[in-house]
Amino acid sequence: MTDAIMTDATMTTATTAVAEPGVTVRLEIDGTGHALEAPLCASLLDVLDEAGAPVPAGCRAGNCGSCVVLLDASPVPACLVPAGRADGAAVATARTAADPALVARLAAAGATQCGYCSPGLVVALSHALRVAPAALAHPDAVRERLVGHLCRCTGYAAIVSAVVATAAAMADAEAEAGRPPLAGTDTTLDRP
Amino acid sequence: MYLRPATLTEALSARAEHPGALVLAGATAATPALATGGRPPAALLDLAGVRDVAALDEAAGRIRLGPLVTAERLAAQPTLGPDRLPLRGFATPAVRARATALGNLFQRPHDLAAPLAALAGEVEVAHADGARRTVDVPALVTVPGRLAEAAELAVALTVAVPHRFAYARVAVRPAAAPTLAAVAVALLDDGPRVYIVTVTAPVPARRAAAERLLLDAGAGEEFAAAAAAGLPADAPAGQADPAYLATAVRALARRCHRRCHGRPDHD
Repeated sequence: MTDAIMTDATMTTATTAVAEPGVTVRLEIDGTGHALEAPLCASLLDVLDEAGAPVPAGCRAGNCGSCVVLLDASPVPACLVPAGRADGAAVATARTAADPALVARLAAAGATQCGYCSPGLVVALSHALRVAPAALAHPDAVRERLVGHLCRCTGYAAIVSAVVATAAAMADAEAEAGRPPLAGTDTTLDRP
Repeated sequence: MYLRPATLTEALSARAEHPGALVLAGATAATPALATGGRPPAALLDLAGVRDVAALDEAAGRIRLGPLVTAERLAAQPTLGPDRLPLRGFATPAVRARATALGNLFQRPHDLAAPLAALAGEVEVAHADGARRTVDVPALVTVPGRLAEAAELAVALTVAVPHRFAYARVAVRPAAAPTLAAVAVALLDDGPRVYIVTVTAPVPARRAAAERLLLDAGAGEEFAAAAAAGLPADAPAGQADPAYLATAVRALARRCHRRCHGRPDHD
């Protein structure tokens, strides 16, 4: 174990197991700056884990979706990003990237049981709802969006209904406000 | 050492100076492999900061993709035809948004090899000394044909703009599962191209006999039989059943033939 490099007095630091050669990663996690030394082959997930971020590790191969975060505002499984590539980036976990209305609906619908997959899918679905809520108005569209998010408890039905309800409420709110149509209003699925 | 070149010239120099470096483009396959074990490479050469490597251009009947163009972006290219490049079953949406078309050819499995071969795909390879050469897709994914020289870098993938194009695959699940069998057909300026892959023969194999039948709208069954001809009759224990793979190739070929003639998959 070696001490992390303190590069900025305003940053928090974490201690990371370092195998030479390493890479220095300075990044913002949920609005707080961090500077960490990580092994060369570490992923962003490893860095987030060392920083104590609330990101569960699942398959570590990009298949389960439990570690999805926003990296510079784009959703990505943290296990697919080399730690060095995250240098200078801003990461948002479920702590800051979750849509409160979606979280409330998921909870009310019993759409989380063990909760392990929840942070990743909440981040991904909250982002999708922000970008194009109308595109999630149909259950099939939500199921398509959930490919790559493995939930072994719920059977997905409650998740899908909660997302559809949130998308509908957001669309209604937009309509009431008299705003122009949202992006992504085509709800037809691309079925190649 | 984590290398972050800003230009292609810098990337080629770094490639020459660090022959043991692993090149990262989309990094969706490399990152899990690196993070979960094995001997670490001497360096990582990350192309993410290189200018112009994410460009997609179309000129003179070919589409040219830089090494950071994602599979998803190629799949959305309108000039590939009405079906474009169907990728619904390729990895997960999150991976498709980051995995690169060129980088996929360096992976196992290389799910895009068959459609890219049908589109007469070629990879441009640059050497640090300024030399350039091209390698076609089947040669690239064949182990002996892979980039052997450490000072080389794959800098672009080009594919032909097809007059007609169809690609169909089957996997153990409809999404996020590697290909069991796939057929890709294209009608290009210089004629038809038909390629098949199976899980037991993953290098795209050209089917000349099927190509001669592609333009015959009434020859769907003969086309399907020609596409499946020559598949291995047996397989080592534990591998996919050859009879199943042959049936799958015939069904996929029939579907591609129908799509090329503007017909639905089923009557």
